[in-house]
Formats: sequence, structure tokens, C-alpha cells
Amino acid sequence: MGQGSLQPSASVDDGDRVTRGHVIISFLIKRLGFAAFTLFAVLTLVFLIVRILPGDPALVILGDQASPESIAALHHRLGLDQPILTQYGQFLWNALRGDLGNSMITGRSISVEIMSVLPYTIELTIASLLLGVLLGVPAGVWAAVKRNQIPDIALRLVSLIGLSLPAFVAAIILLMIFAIYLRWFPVISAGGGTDIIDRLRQMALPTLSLALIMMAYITRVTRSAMLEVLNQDFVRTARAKGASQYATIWRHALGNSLIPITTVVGLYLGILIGNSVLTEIVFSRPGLGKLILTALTQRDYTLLQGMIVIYTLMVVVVNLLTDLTYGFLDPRVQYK
Amino acid sequence: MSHSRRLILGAVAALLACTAFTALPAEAAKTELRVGAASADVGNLDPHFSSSTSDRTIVAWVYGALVRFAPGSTDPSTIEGDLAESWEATDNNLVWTFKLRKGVQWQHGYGEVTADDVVFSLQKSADAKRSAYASDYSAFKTVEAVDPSTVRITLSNQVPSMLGLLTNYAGGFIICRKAYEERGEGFTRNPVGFGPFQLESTEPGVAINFKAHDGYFRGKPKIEKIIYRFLNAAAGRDLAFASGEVDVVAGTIDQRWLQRMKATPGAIVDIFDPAELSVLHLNRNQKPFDNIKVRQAIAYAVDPAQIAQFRGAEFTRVSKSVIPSNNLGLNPEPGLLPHDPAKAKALLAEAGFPDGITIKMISSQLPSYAQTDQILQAQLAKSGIKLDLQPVEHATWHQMIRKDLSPIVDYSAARFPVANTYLTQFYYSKSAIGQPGQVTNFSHCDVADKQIEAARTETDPKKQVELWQEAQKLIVADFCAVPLTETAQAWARTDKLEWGFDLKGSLSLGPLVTEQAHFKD
Repeated sequence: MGQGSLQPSASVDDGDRVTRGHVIISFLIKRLGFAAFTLFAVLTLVFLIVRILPGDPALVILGDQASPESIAALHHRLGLDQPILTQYGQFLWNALRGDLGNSMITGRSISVEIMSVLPYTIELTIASLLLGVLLGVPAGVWAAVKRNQIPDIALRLVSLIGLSLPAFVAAIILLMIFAIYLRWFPVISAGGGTDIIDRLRQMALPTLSLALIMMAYITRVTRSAMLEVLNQDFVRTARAKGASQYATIWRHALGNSLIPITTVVGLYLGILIGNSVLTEIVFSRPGLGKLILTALTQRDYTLLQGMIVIYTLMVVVVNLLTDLTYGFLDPRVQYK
Repeated sequence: MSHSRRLILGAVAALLACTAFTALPAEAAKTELRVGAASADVGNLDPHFSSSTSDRTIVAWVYGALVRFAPGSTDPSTIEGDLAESWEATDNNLVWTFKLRKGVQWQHGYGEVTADDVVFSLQKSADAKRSAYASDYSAFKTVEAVDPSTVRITLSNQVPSMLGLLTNYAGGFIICRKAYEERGEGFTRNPVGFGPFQLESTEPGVAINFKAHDGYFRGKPKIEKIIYRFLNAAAGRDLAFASGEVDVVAGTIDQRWLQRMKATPGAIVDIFDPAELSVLHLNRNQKPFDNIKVRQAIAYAVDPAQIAQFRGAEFTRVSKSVIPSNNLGLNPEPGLLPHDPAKAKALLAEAGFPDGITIKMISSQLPSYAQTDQILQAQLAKSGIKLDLQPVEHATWHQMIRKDLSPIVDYSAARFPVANTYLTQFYYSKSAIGQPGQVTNFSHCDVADKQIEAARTETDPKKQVELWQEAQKLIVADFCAVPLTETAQAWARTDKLEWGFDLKGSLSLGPLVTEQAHFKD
């Protein structure tokens, strides 16, 4: 995870505990500096890519009957007739001031556009992450403990299906079963009310759809991490000194397997934010993934740029949080 | 029971608990209409800019015009008064005077519609900076308010369909001047018209909500609320309709969709005009299409009947001419060639290609285009014509074909149903790619310029139609365009919903919801 600036040491140096806080701050400053550079690079890249892509936002806005005169007038209004360097300078200056501009298609402010869908993405991401972890970790532990027995084989099969099944196929199967035949949940998973029960019902199927994939990843990683840890000396020692099976597995073994699990969760969280686009489309939910796709197909340059900025920021923050989590999970981890 | 087992069971139980304590969705009130649209979000609701199918559908509910097509029709002969109570024109059709209805109210309490609003709207429609349809109104010399309920329009020259320009379509919609000036850029998202439904709220990417315009001059609409849901995925849209979460849903032009809907209990499928005409445009300025024999070979090689059958005969039909068949001025027998691969091969040999020919074609990845182009590829192959398909994303395709990068272009479009519009945009030399007035003349066709120009100013309707028909004959004979099929619009609705008229056509490309729409008990 991250930029390789974390190094687990062989032992915890008690004498350094006082300076650990300073080290973390220094680590944070370095990482934030790197994040700023990443953001700048992404901004420049996105600005250039969207303009290299063939396709004219004016044609999308005005339609295919538009006269060259109307197209020219719109180019002027959107600033697309300016030299590319002028456009780039303007874009950077506005971005620095926190102004991402307005969508070329809807005219709404980019911040409003993003803020209107962000809660949907966050709630879906967190819910599916939690459910994935809640299902995946115990399943992985169980599979490791019952290695090569029926539960292990069954769980490996289930996680293989979870990894192989495309998200939209799983989504449609869930909709057919739970929304059409059983009528437990609605097909349209957004809008229509603020009632908490309604909201939970709307979220259930998209959450389950993403959580099943998340669970598959976590199950496999947990299983392999646990298998490695269960063979180590300290587990045998724990058993020898009379620790219960529960304490040995859940406290000693799982506690020492959390680093790889956290890595997968962190990696997948970053992917989940943008990768839930198919789930959002099938369940008719707004979200960052769907918004970015719409911006791309409509050549909404400003929205696309703003979305990439936000998305990059989110990935950087998730990476940073994951790196910081390592230190809390394993005191041997040092920030350099 | 082990702890892990308990945890798993606990998680599953928690998930299922969500279902146990919740009720099934309540039946919608009979006055609430829920529409499933094939769109991701709302675009631009300024009617003089609305161009997507979804936006056009919506603006037709919000705005009115001086005149309108009779609900359910796209036939210009059905045009009737909307805001205008009556109208008259001078003998030379250059000065038109419209008498407005009194007491017609704007939505959101903006007061009465006046001649000043009409003048403002039509001047805006004619301004390229404030309208996408300005070129249609270039003949408008002056638009003036004679008094608060009379508008006079003076033309610099005659236009093919003056009333057509003032209908509830594109630049013809009348907007509220005060609201437009007050709301500025925001007007595109908060429109004010005098139509039967007014915008209430927008949930970006989720839905847009309308409520009945109580002061609508034809009477209060029977539907009190419309929830217009953005359901861009066809599968999600169909499932939402099957589950009863929406009452009306935009269809997919696909035979399987039609069969599925027909098998759905309580579903009615509306198939209506305008049908989009699919035409192969062959660039006469580029090799090998600079040779008329090669163009003629393409005309023989294609089999439109097979395409129509494949896509679904109920909403796809073989085209009759190089303009859509609902157009005023259609030539039903312009001399189209029959499908004959042998003759196509012979013509290719005569043209100097006895071993066949390979033609590059940039193709849109949009499913409807991709499907047709693949069928064409198979059909042309039988005549020794290898179509080298180069699929690109749809917006990219739009730009590439407007740079003459594809010598053969498959383009589907519906236009205002008077022959002049289609003929001008697709076959008039000044609309050719690269010209200052470029629109969509991909073939660089110029064989019917004289007839197209003459028809525009012809005052005798019969002679005007004859000129349009002659133009089609010339275009067909030159093979610069090879018409294929026409595909109508398709929507599904619950059989409890009545539009209040026979839906045969809708220029907004979606169902027109008027004050008459209602649910049966």
C-alpha cells in the first residue's frame, strides 16, 4: 500500500515511543506533499486527455441539427475557443481557489453535482465494505480452521464465484429474485423519500451485490493469512499455555493476520468508489461512478475534470488512512 | 455452534431483518404518474436548446406555443391553435398576424402570457447565441407586439412551413420573459412555461418532479403529479416497469423487448412517429464513391427488408424514400432499386473492381447503429463489398463523420415533418461537410439544389410538393444516399393509464402528457 515508505521492524523500540508522534507528523507531511504532486499531475493529465478525445460538447448540448453559427457561439460561451494554454491556466487558477466551475451540460455547479451524488456513493461504499468484512473475515477464518474440509471447499467455491461473476450479472440476479419474484426490495434504489426504512430497503440489494464481491476477496485473503499465522510458533505457544480455541484463533491468529486484510480492504475501497458504476447503473442509483461515465459520454469537460480531482483526492485519503491503520494494528510498523 | 458460524448467521439474519419489518411499496395514487426515462439526468430545459430525447419529452409538458400539433399526431395538417386563438397571413405569406387567447397564465404565478413574451421568445429563437435553432428563423425580419394580445411577424422571404416554425417543437416554444430574465442561467434548470405541468423539484441523477399547472388554460390536468425517473439502464427500466414501480417506460428498439413487453400482463406498447430514417450516405467526393456505378452497386447490395425483419417489423419498416415517410412532400415512389447482389457485383466489375472492393466505415458503438452496421457488413459481403467497420464511441463518431473521415456514413434521424428540413440538412450543397453552413450532408450531394431552393419560396402548395418529390427522385437516381429503414419510437405503459388521445405521433419523441391523461379506475 502507498508509496513504500512503511517498514515493519523486527522489534518495537520502546525508547522511540516519545518521538513516534513526530515521526507520524513528518510522514504525514511527506505524504501530503506527494499527494499534492499527484493531484497536480492528474489535473494536467485529465485536462489534456479530455481535450485530445474526439467529440465536441457543443454537439451534445445543441444536438445534431445545430448550425455552425450556434456551435461557434457556444464554444465562445464555454471558453472552448480560447487557446489551450489559456484554458489550462484558467482551469488551474480556478482549481486552486477551490472553484471547479459549472457542468457544461446541466449548468449546475460541479461542487453541487458532486455533492448531490457523493452521499449515495459513500453510503453504498461503507455499507458494502462493512457487510463484506462482516461476512468475509469470519468466512476466511472458518475456512482456514477447517482447511481442506467441506466448509473450506464450499467457501472457496463461493468466493471463486464471487470473484468471477461480473457485478452487473449478480445485480440482475438479485433484482430478479428479491425485487421481482419475492418483492422484498424495490428495483429503483434511490429517491422517493427520506424514511430510514425506505432508505435501507433501497440500499439492501446494491449493498449485497457489492458486498458479495468484497466478501469473496476478503475471504480468500483472510484464509491464506490465517493459514500462514496458524502454523507459527506463537500460536502453538498460545495453545500450549492453555489459551482457548476462541482466544487462539480470534485474538492471537486473526490479530496477526490483519495487515494483509487491511491492505485488501484499503485497495478495494479505492476501487469500490469508482468501480461501482455498473451497480449504480443497474440499480438506478446516482453515484460518482455513474456521474463520471455520464460526463465522459457527454464530453462534459468541466465535470469530468472536477470528478477526477475528487476521485484522486479520495483515493489519496484512503491510501493514507490505510497506511496509518497499519501502525495501529501492528506497533512494529514504523513510519519513515 | 462455533463463533464464526454465529457471526455468519448473525450477519445474514441482520440482512434479512431489513425485509421482515418493512412493508411492500404502497400502490401509487391514481393521480400520480411515474415515468421511467432512458436518460442519466436532466440536461437543458430551455426549450430553444433542449436536444436530447429526454429533455425534449419534458419540455413538451412544460411549455406551449402559438400553435400545436394535435396531441398524438405529427401530421402538419393537424396544426391547431394553442396560445394563438386565430391567425391570418397576407396574400404573399410574408406578414402573419396572431391573435392571442386572453387569460392564459404562466406557471409559478408569473401572471398572464402577453404578446411581449411571444416577441421575446421568437426573437430569442432566432438568436444563435440564445438558441440552437436560430437558422430555422433566419427569415424572421421583425416580430412585434401590435397590442398585448396581438403579435405580427414579418418575413424577409417565404418559408416552407411558417406555422411549423411556431408549433410546440424546438424554437417554437414560448417562454416567460420575466422568469427568463430573473433566473438567468438558472432558467435552464428551472423553466417556466404555460403548459399543463410545472417543474416542482429536481433530484440530480434520480428524478425530476412535476405538478399540475392548476391555472392551465385548457383546464386543470387530471394527473396531479409526475415523477420522471432517470433509469438509463434498459434492464433496470424494464424491471422497474415489471415490478410496478413506474407506469410508463421508454422502450428499447429490439424485437426481444417488444416480445417481453407483450407478454407482460397489463402492459400496452405504444409505437409512434416520428420514425427515424436510417440512410447510407456515400461521399461523392471520395473514392470509390466518386464513381456512380459503385454507389449504384451499394444500392443493389443492401437489403432493407432483412434489416427491418431483424430489428422487429412492428416498429421498423423499409423506407420509402430518402426522407422520412411522415414528411409532407414525400415521394412514395422515387425509384429505389430492388435488392440484387448479382447486379451489384456486375456493376462493381464495370467500375473496375472485378475482385470486389474494401470500404472503410467509421461506425458508432451505440447498439442500434452497431447492430445495423453489422447486418450491412454481412449483406454487402455477398456482393463482394468488404465493409471494414471501425467502431468508435458515439460522441467520437459524431465528430469524426463531421470531418469527412468516413466515406460511407450510416445516419439515423427524424426531423420536422416537412420535406424541406430533411432535404436541406442532408442533401443541399450548402449543408455539406466543410461548407460554412455545414449540417449533415455527408454525401456532398448537390443534384437537387435547384428544386430544394425553388420549393422554399413556392406559394402553390401543390407545386411545392411536386418540387420536393422531384428532388427525391434526383437524389435517388444519383445514389448519393441509399435509404434503409425507418424506426418508430416505442414506449410501454400500464393498461390503467389513458393518454386521452390516440398516440400515433409525438414530435417530442416521448409521450405528450396533457391535461387529458388519466388513470382508469
